[in-house]
Amino acid sequence: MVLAGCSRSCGVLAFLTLTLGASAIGCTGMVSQENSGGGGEGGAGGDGFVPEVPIDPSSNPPKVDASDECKGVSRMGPAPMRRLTNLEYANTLRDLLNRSDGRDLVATFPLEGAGHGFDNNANTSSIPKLRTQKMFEATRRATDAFDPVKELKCPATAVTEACVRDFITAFGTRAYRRPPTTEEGAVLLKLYNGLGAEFSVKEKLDTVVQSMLLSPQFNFMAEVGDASLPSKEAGYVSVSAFELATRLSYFIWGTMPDAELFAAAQSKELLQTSVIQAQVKRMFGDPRTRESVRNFADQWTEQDRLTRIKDANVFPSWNELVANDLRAETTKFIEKSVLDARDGWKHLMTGRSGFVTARTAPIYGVDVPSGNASGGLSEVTLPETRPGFMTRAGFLAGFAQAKYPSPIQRGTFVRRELLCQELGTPPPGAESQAPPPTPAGATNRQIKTAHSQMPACKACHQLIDPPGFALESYDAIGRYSLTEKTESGQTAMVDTTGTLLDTDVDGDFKDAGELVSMLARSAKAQACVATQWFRYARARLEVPEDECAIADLASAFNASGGDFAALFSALATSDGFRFRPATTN
Amino acid sequence: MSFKGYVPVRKGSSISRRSLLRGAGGVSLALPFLEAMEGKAFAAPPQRFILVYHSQGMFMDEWQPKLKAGGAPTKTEYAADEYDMNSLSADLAPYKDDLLFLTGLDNKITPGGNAHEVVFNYLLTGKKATGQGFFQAGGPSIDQVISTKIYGSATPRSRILHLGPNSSWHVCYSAKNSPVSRESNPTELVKNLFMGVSTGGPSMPDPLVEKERMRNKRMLDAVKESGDALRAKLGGDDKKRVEAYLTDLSELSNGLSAPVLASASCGKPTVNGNSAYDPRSSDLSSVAAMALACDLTRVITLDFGGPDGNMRNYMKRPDGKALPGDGTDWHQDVVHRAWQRPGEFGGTVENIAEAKMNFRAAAKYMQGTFANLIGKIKSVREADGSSLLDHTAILYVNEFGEETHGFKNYPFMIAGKAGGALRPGRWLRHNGTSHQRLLLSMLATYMPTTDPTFTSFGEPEWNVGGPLANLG
Repeated sequence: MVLAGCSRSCGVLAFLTLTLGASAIGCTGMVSQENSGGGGEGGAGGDGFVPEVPIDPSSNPPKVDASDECKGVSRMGPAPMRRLTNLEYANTLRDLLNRSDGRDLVATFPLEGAGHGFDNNANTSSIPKLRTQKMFEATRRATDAFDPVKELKCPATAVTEACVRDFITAFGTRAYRRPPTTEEGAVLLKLYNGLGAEFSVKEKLDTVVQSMLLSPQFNFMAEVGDASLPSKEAGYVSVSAFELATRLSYFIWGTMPDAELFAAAQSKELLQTSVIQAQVKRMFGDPRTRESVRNFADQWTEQDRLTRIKDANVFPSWNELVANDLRAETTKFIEKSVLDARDGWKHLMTGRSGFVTARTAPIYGVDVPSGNASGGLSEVTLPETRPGFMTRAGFLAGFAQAKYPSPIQRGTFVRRELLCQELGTPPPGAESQAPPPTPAGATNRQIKTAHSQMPACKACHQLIDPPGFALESYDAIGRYSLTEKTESGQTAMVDTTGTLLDTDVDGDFKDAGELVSMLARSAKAQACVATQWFRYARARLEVPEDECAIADLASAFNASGGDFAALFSALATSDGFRFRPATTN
Repeated sequence: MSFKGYVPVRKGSSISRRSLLRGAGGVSLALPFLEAMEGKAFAAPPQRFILVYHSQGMFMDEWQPKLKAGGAPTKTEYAADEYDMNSLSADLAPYKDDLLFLTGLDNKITPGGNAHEVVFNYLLTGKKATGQGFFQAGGPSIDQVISTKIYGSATPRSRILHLGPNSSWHVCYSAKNSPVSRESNPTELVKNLFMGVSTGGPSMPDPLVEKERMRNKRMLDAVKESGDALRAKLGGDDKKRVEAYLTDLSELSNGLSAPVLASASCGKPTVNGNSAYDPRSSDLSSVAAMALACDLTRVITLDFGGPDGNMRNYMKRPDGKALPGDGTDWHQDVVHRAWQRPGEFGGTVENIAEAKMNFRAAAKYMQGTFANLIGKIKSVREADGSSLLDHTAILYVNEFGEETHGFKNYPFMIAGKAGGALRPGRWLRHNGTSHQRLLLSMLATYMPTTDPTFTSFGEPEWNVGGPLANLG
């Protein structure tokens, strides 16, 4: 990690200092070989993007150029192997076995871990033993609803070995997301032939299919690269065309490649930058992208927090259905920012669209319009007090406790997930020190932050707490109010003022609206959102040597006026997406 | 036709000592005959280990054994007749002689950051975390290591039954950074784990089932063969990960055909159709006891979780009031508050007293649940007629010690004799001893002192002194 320009005793660590040209770079001295291909190869610097709407300077951070120190620096980075996540597993079986839905198959799987980053993070992506057992059971159920006999190119009554071999190649190419090797094909044919006369053709083919579905080839995204393709940098090899198709489809769709991607991989045309760009554009308009973006949004904003309880005495109207509706709204709002709003960044940070149901409209004090409902949600324009995703009730209720909002959780989100600053852990003993007592009638802000004034706590909490204070006018289920009922029963005014420190948009704010406008103008925040997509697309957290690669993405995103299509295209055509270390870590 | 995968003895053919003595119309058999028959028919019962994990700390003054009037307060060891059970541990009284209490053991890792995160990484692995965040444990947890000792080194990731909620929280790890998941659905579990066992004991083979077994075996062998080819092309962690997966598949394959050494008490447990995990229901202790009785596993971890709003469905407070329900934040309003001082985080004299009352009721109830588990295990007869508890150690581990989210003075206890390695019916008092030394002792219980890994579990700096003395 590179230490940020600020080095307070809190020790805030941040990536992406390059976009601000602020600090010494940590990735000098790397092997560098200038790209000898045509301009625009590698996706750096936002070449070739023309914003489809004029950039509104009031809601896009100022243009920042990647520092000179990135010239000639590698953009590759590591590429550890990962497995299919539960959702990807379900989606892949849906597409592979022509099911309407695959989620029933993973209902009994162990939940994904709650580590840092996204659930596809390769570093925590082993297959626990219980999941192996569950996969065994799931593959049996999955093959029950799939008839491989219908896939044969010969009549079921006259099945020749050649016919079985063709099936293995055709189905195997889709299951392994590349043609099976000769050896793999032979093992599967041997399995088929080894089952005796007591087994029907269907039983034998089912067994072959189940064997493929339980294989590491299917369950892991193992890459070996294609050494026959030109390399760009010592120590790195191009991923194969099939591996690239797989990377693209799991990044953008969360499932296996479709026939068109497979065809582009087979012909190797997919290796051309212009073909990747065309595929990204095509995939962007596909419904599968919507689901994948919602999955990103759900994890980024930690909406699983909405499954936690709220105090029934304080919020009698709260229940699981309300929570689900709010969760759907948060992800729908971000989906709209990414896929439908051409000025996506502006919409994400300041847009006022809301997606309500009869259950959630009262939280916003709006009426449910008749008509224009999509997926049970009706789109409305919310009041001025609701700019951007951080003022959606699902976000606010998630980062809150059972009775009271949590300025610390909300502030921590801003620091860690919107500014990509790592705060480090509290110093030893900080947690066990008793805070100064607060008098009866103290407000939530006073109680929650009594300890923040203690020397051991202050260094970090002066950074964490203020952005949370700005959101203090939204209660624990996301309702807007300028007063609160204190623990001792009095009514008190909430205090939403504060000072934002240690960002590129430091200053005082008086409420959420002002804080959100400041963050919308923050190049650090915009680069952080690009970083979140990097984590999702590359299925790992960034490492110091990714700094220049991420600076490229941030710069492409900024130059496009905050258009997520441009960000996706820059990611998909970047060096790190097309090459991998020649030896697996 | 081979009866692979089936228990060689059927119900009735494995006769307990008592039924044999009682049998034949009251005619008592000569003991030498009986001994000879047992010597032939039954191998010595295997060692078993159960780890029970419970969350959120304990009021130690109300839990640890209470010295009888006139008892010397400064001893480091007390016999069971010198103390009574305390108010929170009252339900353990029937098993006082089966329990070894240990107090004064500390978790020595440096607190910092989220206390739960630190505990999840360190408590059962004894290893410092590999990085910041959840599930960055530095090595396997104690249950995994004990399992390799019980099963031998040939099965590095042996069959361990992990029971617990299907949540994203983990305390057990199969290896560095590899949290293990838990089986949470008792009904599914009985269906899958007890496949070859009927209610009346192990069942006879069915040709259709046998055909299915063969198909599965061939199918999994093919996965292994082509998986090995893939593995050979990979390196580093990628290779290790594929390897670990293939090992699990082999075990799955072996499990489908492994012989089962059932005891006389073996039978399919009846569960009440529950599909949700609930440590308070008796389903899980029944499943655990039968899984051991049928030798489907020899190592079990059972996660009791923490107190929550469901408690009110099971119990009332001693004052007759209902416990706070589902719409309560137990973690904040009960557990944290129970240890607060007035003025801290909105705590008042009244709401703190209320929180303490709720915490006590829940803690006492869960001690009762632990007592039920001991009872179930104790009632299982081994093939040689002895109690399963004689060959088992049930280690109770709490997430925290005597203070809120505190790392000092943990409430540890062990039920059972572990084949004679442990001498229960006592209370051993320590003062600031590293809890790692207890984990080492548990490991030592399952291995000879000549084993080269005898003193090597966990961080060396907190292992000084080796396994705790005087457990046996």
